[in-house]
Amino acid sequence: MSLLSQPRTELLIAYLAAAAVGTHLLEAALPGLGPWFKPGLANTFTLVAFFQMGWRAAAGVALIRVLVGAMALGTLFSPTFFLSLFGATGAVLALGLACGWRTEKTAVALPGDGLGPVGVSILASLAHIVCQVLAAWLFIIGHSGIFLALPWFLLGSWLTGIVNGLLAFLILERLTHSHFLAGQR
Amino acid sequence: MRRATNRADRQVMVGSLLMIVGLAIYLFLRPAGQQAVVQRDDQTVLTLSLSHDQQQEVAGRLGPVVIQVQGGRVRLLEYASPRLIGTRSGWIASAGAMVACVPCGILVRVAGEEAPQSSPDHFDGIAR
Repeated sequence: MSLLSQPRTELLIAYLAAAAVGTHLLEAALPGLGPWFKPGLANTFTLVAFFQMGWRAAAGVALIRVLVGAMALGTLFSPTFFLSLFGATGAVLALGLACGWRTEKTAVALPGDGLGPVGVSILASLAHIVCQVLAAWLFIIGHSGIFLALPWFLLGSWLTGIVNGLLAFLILERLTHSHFLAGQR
Repeated sequence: MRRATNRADRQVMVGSLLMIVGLAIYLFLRPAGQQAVVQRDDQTVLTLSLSHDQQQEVAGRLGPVVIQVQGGRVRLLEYASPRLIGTRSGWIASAGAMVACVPCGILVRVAGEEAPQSSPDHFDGIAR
């Protein structure tokens, strides 16, 4: 159940989507950390949306980020856009699966009891890269040799999943004590 | 302040890392390849033996791409693509490994993944 009333929910989705798009653009402008490797910090805001408002809100933030980010970068409907879309779809599906994983009280007592932001972030990050590699194999490269690079991609995703999960946890902690949500309780 | 991770998080962290390491070990314990096959737009344009050092140039969509063989490994060096991902991917040597410059339309793969040395398919591959 959402912690927020409807207008505040939409406002928070808008804030998070704007922050995600801004981070997406900033990351695109920065030099890469290695071939085919991006920190994916924008996904932090998708995680915050998931833990604050649930799966649908997270899917909304992710979709807005991919669409608006691609429009701003001029890559809409390019291969990069579709890779991004496939990755985001995989991550959102992983978030949906994480909703059902309820084994113990989470660090942040919100949807997905059992897994906290770090665990959910790792799963989403791994699903993100697996879907991107599948899309690259199906639509761009067409050769199964791309899967030989999968362990490196997965390792990068694992690391960024942990970092993004910790960042999401810190944001959620701040949000929990913020005036924005205080009036809703 | 609450802890950032709980037991389930740590289980996911360790379990996924073990899975990645297992996959890496499985994929990298493969025999080294014998040849590098260079393709442009799905057409093979060059085949290089990895047994001796050499350097060849092929025409990519954005300009020339250098294919360099050294010490049983191969890499591509592109100079005109936006992010130089192919160059930054570095050397490859295992059978089945590949490196690509997508904007250039150039893909380099190490041949030898499909069949063991004793398979008849292996000789068909060489004869072609």
